[in-house]
Amino acid sequence: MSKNVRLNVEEDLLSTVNELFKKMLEKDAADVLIVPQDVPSGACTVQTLVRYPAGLRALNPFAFVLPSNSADILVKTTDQASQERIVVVFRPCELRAVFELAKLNQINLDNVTLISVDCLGTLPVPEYVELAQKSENGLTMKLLFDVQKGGKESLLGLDLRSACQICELPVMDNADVSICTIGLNLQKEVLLKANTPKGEEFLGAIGMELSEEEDPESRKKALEQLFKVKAEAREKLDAQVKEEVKDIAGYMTVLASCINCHNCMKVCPICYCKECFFDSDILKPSPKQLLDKSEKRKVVRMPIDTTLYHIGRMNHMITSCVSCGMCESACPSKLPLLAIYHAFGSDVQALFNYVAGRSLEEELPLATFKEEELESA
Amino acid sequence: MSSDSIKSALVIGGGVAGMQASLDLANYGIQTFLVERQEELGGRAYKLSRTYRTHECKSDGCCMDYCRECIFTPKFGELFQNENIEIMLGTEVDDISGEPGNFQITLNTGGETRNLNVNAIIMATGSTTFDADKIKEYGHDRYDDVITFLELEKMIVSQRGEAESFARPSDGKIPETVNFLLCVGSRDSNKGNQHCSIVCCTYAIGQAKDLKTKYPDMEVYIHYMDLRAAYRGFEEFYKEAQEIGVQFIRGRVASVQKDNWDLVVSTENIDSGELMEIKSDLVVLTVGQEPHRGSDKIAESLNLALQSNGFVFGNGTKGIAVAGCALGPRGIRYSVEDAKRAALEIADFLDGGEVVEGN
Amino acid sequence: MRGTSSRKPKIGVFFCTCKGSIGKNVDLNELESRVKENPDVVLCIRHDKLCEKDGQAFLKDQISNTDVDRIVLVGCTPRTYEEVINKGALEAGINRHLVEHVNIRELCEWIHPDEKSATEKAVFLVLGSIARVAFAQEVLDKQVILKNNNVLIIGGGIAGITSALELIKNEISVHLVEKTDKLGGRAYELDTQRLSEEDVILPNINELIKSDKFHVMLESEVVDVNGTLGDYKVKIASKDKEEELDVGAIVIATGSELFDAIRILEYKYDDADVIDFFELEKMLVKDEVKVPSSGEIPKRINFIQCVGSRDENKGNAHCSLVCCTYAIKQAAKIKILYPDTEVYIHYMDLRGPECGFEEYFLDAQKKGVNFIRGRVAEIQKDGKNLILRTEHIELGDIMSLPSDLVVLSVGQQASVETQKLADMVHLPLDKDGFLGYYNDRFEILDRRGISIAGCAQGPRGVARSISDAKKAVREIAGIMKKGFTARSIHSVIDETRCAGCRICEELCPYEAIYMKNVKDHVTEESRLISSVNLAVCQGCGACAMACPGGVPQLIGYSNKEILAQIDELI
Repeated sequence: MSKNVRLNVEEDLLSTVNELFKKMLEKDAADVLIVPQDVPSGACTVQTLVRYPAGLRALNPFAFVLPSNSADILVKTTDQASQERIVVVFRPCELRAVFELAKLNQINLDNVTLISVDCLGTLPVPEYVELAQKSENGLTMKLLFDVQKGGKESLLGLDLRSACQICELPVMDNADVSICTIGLNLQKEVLLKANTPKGEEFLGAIGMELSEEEDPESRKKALEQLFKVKAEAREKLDAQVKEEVKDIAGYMTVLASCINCHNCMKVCPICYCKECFFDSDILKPSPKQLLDKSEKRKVVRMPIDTTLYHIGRMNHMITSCVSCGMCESACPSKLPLLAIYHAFGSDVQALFNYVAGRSLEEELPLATFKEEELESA
Repeated sequence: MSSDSIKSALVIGGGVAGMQASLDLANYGIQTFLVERQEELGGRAYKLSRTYRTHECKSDGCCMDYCRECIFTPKFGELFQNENIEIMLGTEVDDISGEPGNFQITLNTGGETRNLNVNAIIMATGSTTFDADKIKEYGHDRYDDVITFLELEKMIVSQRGEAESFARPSDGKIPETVNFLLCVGSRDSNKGNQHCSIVCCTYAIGQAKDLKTKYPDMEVYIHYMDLRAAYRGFEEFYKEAQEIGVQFIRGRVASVQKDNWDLVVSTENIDSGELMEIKSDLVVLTVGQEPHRGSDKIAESLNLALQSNGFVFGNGTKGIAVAGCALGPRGIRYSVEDAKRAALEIADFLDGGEVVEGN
Repeated sequence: MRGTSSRKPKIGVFFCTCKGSIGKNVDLNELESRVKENPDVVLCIRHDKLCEKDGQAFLKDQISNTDVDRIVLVGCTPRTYEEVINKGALEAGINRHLVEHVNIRELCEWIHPDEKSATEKAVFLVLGSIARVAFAQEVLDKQVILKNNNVLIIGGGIAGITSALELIKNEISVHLVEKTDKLGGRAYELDTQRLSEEDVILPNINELIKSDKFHVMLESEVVDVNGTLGDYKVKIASKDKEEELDVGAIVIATGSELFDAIRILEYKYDDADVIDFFELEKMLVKDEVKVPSSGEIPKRINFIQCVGSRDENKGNAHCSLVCCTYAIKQAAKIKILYPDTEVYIHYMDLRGPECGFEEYFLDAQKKGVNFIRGRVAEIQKDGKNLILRTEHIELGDIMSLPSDLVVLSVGQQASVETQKLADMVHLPLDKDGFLGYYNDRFEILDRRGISIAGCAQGPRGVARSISDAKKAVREIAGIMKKGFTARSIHSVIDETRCAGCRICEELCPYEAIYMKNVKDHVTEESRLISSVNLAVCQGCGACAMACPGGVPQLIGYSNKEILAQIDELI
């Protein structure tokens, strides 16, 4: 059972949380924070590196927007020799990617404290920005209360990103600390949970007194409802994709409008290679080769190798795909990449009895050998 | 390197022992002449349809048979392409003279003679199988369906890939009852040789097991005196054979006779004391090994003493080593080990032999 | 060697008709004309039998007389004749990586009876190989010298001592770890007069101890092994300290242990007059045998064979191979010492792996040793007398035999040390717990520089242990002294592109990949990346497959070559 503490909301939720993080720096529980803050105009929320309390002005871990998967920031800020104590606030999908990257030796978690927030989903960035520019201050809180209440108009009629609609793990109970909002009266309180010894120590260091309280009934109920909705959406989407992409022809049809920009790879938190194989010289045909090819094949689709690229990339990272949906959000051709990766990724991962990002302890399927695996395949 | 500083050695016999010895010598940087009486390398081992590997093959399960192609083809390739090896097929050694470090050899290839000077010699003349016709009671000379285990191997190799892949010689039918007779010409100082041939138990069990596995309804008997192949893994091999239903009967078979149409194997079951007559469609004589004709001549010219059983003693003059069945009956594995040891001895003797990585 | 710079490739294609056996289903004329269309092909020629002498001469001639720099050989399976046919090309100065083989005999001629499909497939295969060889690059063999050429021998029995002497003879420094307080193991306590052949000459331990290249650690044990060929770090625990040794290779000579007869209660091993063969041997070395309890010469001696062997229930399933020989030898010697003593050997089957066994057996019979077939049920004690109760299989009888002395021929079994060690160096054990797996192959030495000698591979006699050790060590000596030629097909890692995820390290079945620190070429900061140990890499390509970035590349199987070939094939 994890230890927890209720944090009373003083003025409002965001400023209470802002103060909490200030305390971390003031009490020297952390050297650097990696936290999402609103940009000054309020039009978007982005990750920031904060070393001094003064840098914390508009902390907003609950914003309904995710411009990029932040796992990559830890790849850039840690290495084998890292000494500084870093505290990060990430959404569950970002944390899942962190776990995968840690297993792939791209992140060193030794001195990192991971804090997760309950995530109710995010809107596509352009729609959010438009909305934020129109709205008064307090958009996040308004949406948060709306969604908590439920109902059709809960997001001002907007749809979440498809990744968020089908999200499997909107709460993360194995981060060091989790900030829980779902099913709580956010005008009065939020719940802080310490899930690991590291988390307990951390919360202790900023003066929290932990107890072993059960989750409130309201939270349990809200979560149950949330999981149900997401599961239904997931099943529907998976079925739809598997119908569309039941063979290679279907696959090529769905991906027909790919322009080979490789954005999906660039924003993918799991694509950790220093240089993508598909960007390397190996796959760049010389002019002569390209023209020769047209002679042999009669007709060659340009840009070439888009199918090879997608199959190859899927082959490379599907066992670690955390379904954050960044690829789909970044695609200029609006290809249903998340849907495809989720449908096939969850199948492949199931073969190995593995869920990408579920925990740090589960070993990467590729790096382990079990005699009995794949027998059902 | 000037040409006279290159050491050379003669290997007599191109069976597994001779092949391995040549390869090792060559890898130690010694110019090697490999002489084989027959027109092809491989000796008796190459005539086998497969080897019973028990613990031998690491690729268990990747193919059904550890067959001769798998062992020999790469070895042939290596031999033929090795710069340090000259292979002379269809060649016999006519004369050997000289002393360790400087032997003069006269070779004879179909009447053509050639003189060689070598520094050392490895004798790998092998053994031959006992002539089953000598034991009249078993009727090898009279009945088509009484065959030796080598003839059985030949049948299996030649019938491989055909639809009816196992047909007995007389009428091409798949036999329903097969009897294996062990120690034919072995452990029998009256009609054969006194010594035990060591490998026959393994072979007979292997062949019996193969037949029983392929034709589960076939009755397979093995008549033995002692089951004594002392190899690692043999025990399990023997148990497996018992489990799939190969029947072991202890006792020396008195005779194989024809009763109208069928062959009848008459024997005493020593363990139960009863006399038995078993009708049989095919009888396989597991003949033992005996010294090769001509090997005593070579041994003599090399000053090697003979054992009481006619095989050669391994310890002799320096610069001469013996490998394989010339020393006495042994399996492929031990022949190979022998050969490696012999090559090592020669390389040590010549000393100038370059120490290089073995293959 | 002909250069293969970036200039246009000049490919020679040789068709071998295999003495006319290719060409009935595959239309060679059509194939040739399709091949000639490829602008890179400068020579396209047919021969009857390239694997024979004149074929080879022809091949060499053609290559020397033209300016071709790459070769495609079209004919039978490379599995059989690749090396043989290649020889001519190599002799004419073409690097082996610039030669491609295409098998149109087994893959086309023999399995496609209709001309069209046989020919069409042959065309694709040949064009694929032409496309591939055009991108192939010359690779020269690399000689690798090892960092450390000391050898660690684990176990100071006969195999370990022989190995040490052989290595020292080759001027290689040896560290020997022995768990007991003295060298020699069992062999030096045996009477080593051999069967019909010459006596076994045991190596001289004193000679070994005198050598300044010999470093011995008694009462010590290996507790951890790390590293690879040329660079092993081995932790050794002695009584009072733990030290780390750097060695280049390891010889495992941990031997076997004798079955403890006390485990078979029926045989009353705790009785003073029931001894095992090893205890008897110690008496025989002194040429006298006395009944331990009374000090008298025994009048009746019974040997029980297969104690703890061939017995899954109470002992080990395997046969220990050497015990029959020993028992017969001991029995015969007792008969020589005391002709009036009755000697019985109770056996299941009489087995001896060495030739000469039969003669020895007959000799013992002549001397009056009695052989009784059957497993002894139990030994009873009647007052001071031992009584054997056994079945006589041939007579079908149950017998009671009084006995003054009972000798148990206990078998050998795998030692616990061997099993622990196998775990440390990742070697598989067979089901009896021995390291037999490697012994039975043509090659003895593991690519990683781990060699096994003696009974650690399974029960064996002294002579075989000695020859084993010599053989095992010879190979190590060569590598230690001169280094070795790395396989020309091996993995190479592009250091700038490796992200250090360690997937390849986990995956490499040969443990050829290790992590090393390098300075990043841009940031100049140190980072951990994969590196290949050429000594160990077998060129299997698992790393190349696993790496999403395509960072490890297999020489001779680069993406460029393979993709070019695939492009032609589809």
